[in-house]
Amino acid sequence: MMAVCIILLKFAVKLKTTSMKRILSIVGFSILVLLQGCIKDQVMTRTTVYRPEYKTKDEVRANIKSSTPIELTAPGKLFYKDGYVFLNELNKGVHIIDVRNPSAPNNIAFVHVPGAVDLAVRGNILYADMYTDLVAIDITDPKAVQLKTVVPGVFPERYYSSFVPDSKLIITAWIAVDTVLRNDETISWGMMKADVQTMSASSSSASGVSNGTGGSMARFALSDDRMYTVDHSKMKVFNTAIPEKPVFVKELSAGGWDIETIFPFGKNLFLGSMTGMHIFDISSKDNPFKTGSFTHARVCDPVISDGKNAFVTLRNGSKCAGFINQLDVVDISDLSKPKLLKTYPLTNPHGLSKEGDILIICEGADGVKFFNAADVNNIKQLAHVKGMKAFDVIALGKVAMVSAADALYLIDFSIPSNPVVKGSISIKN
Amino acid sequence: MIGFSLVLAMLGPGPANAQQKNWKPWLVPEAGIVLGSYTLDRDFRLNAGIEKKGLMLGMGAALDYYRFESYPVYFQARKTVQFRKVNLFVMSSWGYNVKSGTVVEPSWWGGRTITKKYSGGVYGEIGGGNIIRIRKKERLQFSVSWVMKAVEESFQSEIWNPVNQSPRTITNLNRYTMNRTALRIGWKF
Repeated sequence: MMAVCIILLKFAVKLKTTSMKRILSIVGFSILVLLQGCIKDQVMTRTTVYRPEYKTKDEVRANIKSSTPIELTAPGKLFYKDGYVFLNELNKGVHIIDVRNPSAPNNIAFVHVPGAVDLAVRGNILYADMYTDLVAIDITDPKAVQLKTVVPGVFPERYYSSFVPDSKLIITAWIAVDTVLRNDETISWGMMKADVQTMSASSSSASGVSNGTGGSMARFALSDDRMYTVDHSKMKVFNTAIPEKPVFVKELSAGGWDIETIFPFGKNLFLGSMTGMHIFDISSKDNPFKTGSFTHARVCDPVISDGKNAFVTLRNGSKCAGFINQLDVVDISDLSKPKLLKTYPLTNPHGLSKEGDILIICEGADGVKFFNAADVNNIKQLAHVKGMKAFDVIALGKVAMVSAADALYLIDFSIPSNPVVKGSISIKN
Repeated sequence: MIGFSLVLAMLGPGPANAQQKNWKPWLVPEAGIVLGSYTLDRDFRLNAGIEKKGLMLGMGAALDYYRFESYPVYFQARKTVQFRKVNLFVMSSWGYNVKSGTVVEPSWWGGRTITKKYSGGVYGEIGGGNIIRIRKKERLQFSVSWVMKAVEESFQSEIWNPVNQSPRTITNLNRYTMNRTALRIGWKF
C-alpha cells in the first residue's frame, strides 16, 4: 500500500495541472478506501473434535457375533445370567465375562453393537439398542452369539444435534481429532442426545422365562413378557412373548420430561426424572397408565426395592445438584402413600443392591459397604471394603459384582462381616 | 522486516526534508482511533528516537485497546518527504504486542467458568501522514496507517465424548491477527 502511495506521490510531483492532481488525490483516496475491504481480523482456532467412522448397516449386522474380547474402557450397564456377566461397553457393544469362578473372571468375548447404551436379557435373548434400532441376540452359547432380529427405527431420539449422520451408514466409532479452524469455519461434531444415568434395577417374570438381573443405568425394563423403554418423554412397549422376535407395540407419554431411567416393581414401573419418579401401573401390559408420583427419589438417586421397602441413596456431586449424602428407607407397602421410615448418613453413596438381609452400597471413592438391613429401622454396618472407586453393584447369591472406576470386582460376602475381593477385570482408562 | 525493507527502498531517491548534519533526538506522543472489522477503539503511543536528514529512527510503546487491551513495543522508522511545501512522512513499525494475564468468564454451562490465558504476538504498522508547521517548526502530525497486532488466547473447555458419554476436557487455542486502520494525531517535540 505504501509502495503505491510513494509511486503516486512521485507522479504527483511531476504533474502540473490542478485537475490531474485532484484526480490523483481521488484515486489515492479510493485505493485507501478499497483496501479497507482487506483489513479484517483473522482468527485461527486449534481445538479437538470428534469425527465419526462409518460402516454400512449390512457390515454392522454381519459383525454382531462373539468376537475377540477387548479391554474394558467405558463400562455401562451390566446383566448377569447363568454364570456370565454381559457388560455394556458404551456405544460399542457388549463384553461377555465368565464369572463362574469368581476368583478368576474371564473376559471371553465381545459383541460389536455400535451405539449400544442399554441392555436387557430375557431367557436366552439379549436386547440392546443399536442407535435407533433394537437388536435381539441369542446368547444361548455366549461364545457364539447370534443376531436374531433387528427392529429398526424404534429409538428415533438417538440423533446427533448439529450433525446429521448418513441414514445408510452406522457410526461405529468416534475418533478424537485435533483440528484447525479459520475465521468463520464452524465445527459440526456429533453429540449424543440420550444420556445414561445410574439406577439400580432388578426384574422378574411370571411367564416361566427368566429375565436377567440388571444393575444400573436402566432405560430398558423387563416385566413378564414385555419390555419397556424410555427416552426423555416417551415410553415404548415391546412384546417379547417370543423373546427372539420382539415386536414393537406402542409408544406413549412417559408422564413428564427428562425421563432417564426405568425400573419395574411388581405390577408397576418407576420412571425416573429430575424431580422424582412417575409410577405407572402395568397390570394391563400393553397399556401402562400413570397412577402417581414418588418424590423420594429422582433420576440421580439409585433405588432398589425388596417388595416392602425402597432403599434410596442420595449424594452430592450428581447432576441433580444434591448436597446431602444419605440412605433413605421408604415404606412402599402402599404405593399411593409412601412413607419415609429412616435416614442414614453416608459418605457419597451411589448404586446399591440387596441380597436377603444384606444391603450393599457403593460409596464412590470410599469403596463398598455391607449392612445388615434385617431391621430397616436399625441398619448396621457389617464391613467396609476400601481401595476402589465404586459406582454400582449387583448381588448374586453370595458374590457381589462391583463396577468401579478401575475394574469390575467380584466380592465374596459369604461371611458378610468379612467380604473378600476374589477377582477383578481391569478397566483401561 | 517488510516494513523496514520498504523504508529502505524509500531512502534513496526521496528528497531530504532537512539539511541537518548531526543526529538529534525526537519525541512524538500520539493518540489515535483504530478501526477494524471487530470494533472501533483507541490507542495511545509514545515514540522517540534520533533523526538526521529526514530519516527518523527510534522505538515506541503503546497502549492499544482494540479488542484486547495490549501493550505493543516496537522499533520505528520514519522518512520525511517534502511535497510542494507540504511536509509528509512515511513510517513503519515492527515489534511485539505484549499481552498476558488470565480472565475468568462465566460459561454457558450453568455455574461454570472458563479461565482464559493470554499471550502476545507480532505487532506491525505501515503508514504515513503529514506534519503541520507551528511556530516555524514541524509539530502537529496527522497520520493514517495499517496496523496489525496478534494475541493468543488459550482456555480449556468440555466437549461431549460420544464414546463413553461423558464430558472430555480439551485445550483450545485461538490466535487472533487483528488488522486495523489507525488515524492518529501527534505532536513532535
